[in-house]
Amino acid sequence: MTTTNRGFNRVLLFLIGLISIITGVTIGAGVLQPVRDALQPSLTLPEQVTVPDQALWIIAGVCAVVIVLALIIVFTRGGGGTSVAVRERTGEDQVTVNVALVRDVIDHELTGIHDIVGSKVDTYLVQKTRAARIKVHVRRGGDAVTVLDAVDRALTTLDQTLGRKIPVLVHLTGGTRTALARTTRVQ
Amino acid sequence: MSTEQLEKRLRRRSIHRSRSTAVAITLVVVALVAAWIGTEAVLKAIGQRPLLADPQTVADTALNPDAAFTTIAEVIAAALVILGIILIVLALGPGRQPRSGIDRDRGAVVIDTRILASTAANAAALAAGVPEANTSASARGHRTQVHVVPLSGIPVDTHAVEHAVQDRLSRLGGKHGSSVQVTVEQKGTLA
Repeated sequence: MTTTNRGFNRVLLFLIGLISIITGVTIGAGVLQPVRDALQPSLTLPEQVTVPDQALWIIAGVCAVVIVLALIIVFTRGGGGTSVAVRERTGEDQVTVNVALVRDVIDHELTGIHDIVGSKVDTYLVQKTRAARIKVHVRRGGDAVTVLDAVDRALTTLDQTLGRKIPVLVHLTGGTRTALARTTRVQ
Repeated sequence: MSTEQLEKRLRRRSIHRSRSTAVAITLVVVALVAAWIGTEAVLKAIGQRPLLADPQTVADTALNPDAAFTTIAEVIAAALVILGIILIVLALGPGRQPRSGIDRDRGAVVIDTRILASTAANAAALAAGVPEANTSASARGHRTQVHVVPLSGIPVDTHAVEHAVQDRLSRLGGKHGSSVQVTVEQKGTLA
């Protein structure tokens, strides 16, 4: 649901993995005497390398840039969450519906369904459209079919309440809340 | 983007993982390593004592390695190669989560495989007339395996159970319930 660019994630992981393998192989092979002897004709290693003072500052600078970029990327993962479920502008006026309303409608419609332990509603801005994710925690030994029927009824009520159909993702899941809930004992 | 397209996209993105956690952990490690190298460089430049080894010492030892350095270098090299392989597998793998998408008129629906299995077990228990705890099910893709432990003295009709599970799962649409395998335990339990 988030706005994370997944292709970028993949490319980044691939590149770091590749760099890591190449560095590993170079270090691992480079310190072995047989490998050094084999490379002797084509590559002559200098006996002594002096690290100049400017190089130290360049190394430090490059490291600082790497750290800043890494932290920027880490903190820009995820995102796209919003608390506004619907926003409509007509001229000067603006109507916003908070996610709390959606949450209340869904909660109200789903209470009393035995197979449902609880539900969680979040709204996200996906491709400039507001979409809701409804996570429904199903009781252990619960039946997905009855749960889905109940969710459908809840969505119908939600559509009538909002007066429009917002895109929704329904996720039936277990999780810790269901692990603690009592199992069905009587049908 | 239309609602259907958007919901399809949401469903697809919900079934596959984003790898953000992997990226975040990797980058934090990269940042820590960079911080260490940078600190060593700065400490050397301002003439302070190094934390572990200054860049000059590393360059000297790498050119003329001794036994201890070789061991350390091999361990680091092995760790880097293993890490690299894990990252590339993460990057190129499909990254599917144990969930499956369900076609529904309203909204995009994904169901955890555990819930599908629990639905199958539920239907089997109802059809076999045994308590819920006596049935277990596992689901993988569209295949579902159901295991029933009967109550002593009361036979279980395998076909009826299979039919019930198929019927229940097929109501989820798609190929669900197309392949159901029911096994009944030889020994029963007391009710």
